[in-house]
Amino acid sequence: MNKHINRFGPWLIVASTLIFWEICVLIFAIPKFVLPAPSAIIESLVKWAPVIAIHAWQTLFTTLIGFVFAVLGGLGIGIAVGWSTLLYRALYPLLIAFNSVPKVAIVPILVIWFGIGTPPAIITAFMLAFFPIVVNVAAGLATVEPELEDVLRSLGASKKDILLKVGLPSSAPYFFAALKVAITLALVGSVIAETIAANKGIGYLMLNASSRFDVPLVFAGLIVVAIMGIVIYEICAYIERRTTGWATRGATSVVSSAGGG
Amino acid sequence: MSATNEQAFVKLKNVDIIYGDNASGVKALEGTNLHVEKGSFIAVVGPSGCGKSSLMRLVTGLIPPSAGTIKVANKPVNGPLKIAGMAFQNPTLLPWRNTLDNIMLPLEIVDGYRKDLKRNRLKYEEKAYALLETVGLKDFAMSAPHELSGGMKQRVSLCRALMHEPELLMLDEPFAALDAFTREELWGVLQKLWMEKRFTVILVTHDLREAIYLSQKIYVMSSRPGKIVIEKNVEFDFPRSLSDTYKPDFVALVEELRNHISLERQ
Ligand SMILES: Nc1ncnc2c1ncn2[C@@H]1O[C@H](COP(=O)(O)OP(=O)(O)OP(=O)(O)O)[C@@H](O)[C@H]1O
Ligand SMILES: [Mg+2]
Repeated sequence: MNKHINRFGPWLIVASTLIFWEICVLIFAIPKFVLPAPSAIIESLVKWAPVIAIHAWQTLFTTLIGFVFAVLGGLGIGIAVGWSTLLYRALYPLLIAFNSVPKVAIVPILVIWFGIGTPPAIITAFMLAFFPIVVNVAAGLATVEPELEDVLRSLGASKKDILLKVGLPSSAPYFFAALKVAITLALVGSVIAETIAANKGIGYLMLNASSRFDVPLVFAGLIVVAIMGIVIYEICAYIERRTTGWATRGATSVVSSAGGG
Repeated sequence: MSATNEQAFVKLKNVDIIYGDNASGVKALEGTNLHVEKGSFIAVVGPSGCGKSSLMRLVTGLIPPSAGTIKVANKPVNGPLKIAGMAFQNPTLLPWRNTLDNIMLPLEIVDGYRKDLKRNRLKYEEKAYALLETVGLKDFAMSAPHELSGGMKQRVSLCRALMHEPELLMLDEPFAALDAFTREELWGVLQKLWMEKRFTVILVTHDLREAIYLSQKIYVMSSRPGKIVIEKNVEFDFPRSLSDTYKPDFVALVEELRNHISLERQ
């Protein structure tokens, strides 16, 4: 019984929410351009499916490219910052400043530099996804027990040995936890940039639809973004479980931190 | 002090440790002299915070002395030793490695081994198994640390400290977190290993019975800033057994040392 509730509980909640929504729209006769009923959204989804697919593909593409750069850059800078206190002190204020700037405000600048299109979306995705990876990798490196470091140093281990044998493996759970956060933030970044400066992508589609008061299509876009978010999150969560299962069974607890949009 | 000073394996002369800057910092050790002969087993006891752990890190070259000189194997210590094995109260195993791979870790780092580890891996694994057998963990070679009890982890930690056959074994309260039964069992394990291999051991402990059971000589330290106030030879024959610890001579020695320490704490 309990098992069934665990399995189907989430779906039940989604279904009852949709039904409740549908009924409310019917009872209060809410106009389509204010809040479309789920049935209207689904209708629009089906009707525009080929167009939505093209834009969704574009959004996925910019998200993944931005994410890959964020992973590479975040790993590099995270390791550098965790490795050297000097670099940590030098880069820390810069990183905080970078994370505090609202990324929406940077998109117009990106447009001036790169024009309207794919590059601003990729860069915005990168900027949002980058910070949590840096912070978590650096935090993971800092969790190495001082006593373990003593053990290794008394064996003649170099700083590099300690990083390779202990630092990187013990920061891996933090890194993979950050991936989950980072990939969804990358998606947010892509969509934000597309609503400001693009001629392709789900964000562009939604902006375009709302200017035509095609609210069901706007909602259809939102739902596509949400589903994409869930799928890429789950993929990262799966990778996390497969690679660092040891961490959830031991005493190590993983904290993940998110940057703001 | 003994006449064999010149041959001492570990030699500390007038050593100070000051944490922070010299004027306002915490003085953890003051004017400490220590001579440990090769192959001997010594214990250091003293009130909490007197600088025992600092002494351990000093001898292994992990921190430099603020004053005085340290020599190990007749060479001045001015960096991490590379010939030491260490074990602490906390077993500090790598949670992503199984028991065997945890024990093999020193071989991936110590100079003489890291080059030919790949070629002779089987031979070294055999050695690791033999070591595991002496501590009663042969069947757990493939277990992850989270599948082991506290006492088992501590045995693994001990094996890791001995895997590269160090000349010097540094133990900082290695059994302090264990229950009395496991602790006494591990005393036997450690004594057996030491009698077989005769590495030099410096053991820090709060347990006077443990110190007397295991060591040939006990150093009592004063409270902070720590210095060695009493050296006491333990003359009982090896191997010692648990029942020896209840004999009158043994109990009298525990009493005597306890009195010294309670004096030092005032
Ligand atoms: N890294 C450090 N920085 C500053 N002070 C330190 C540091 N390590 C130790 N101390 C100080 O040096 C003194 C001795 O510490 P140490 O850890 O050597 O004591 P201990 O004898 O091992 O104590 P315990 O028996 O409780 O383990 C303490 O007063 C402590 O506050
Ligand atoms: Mg200590």
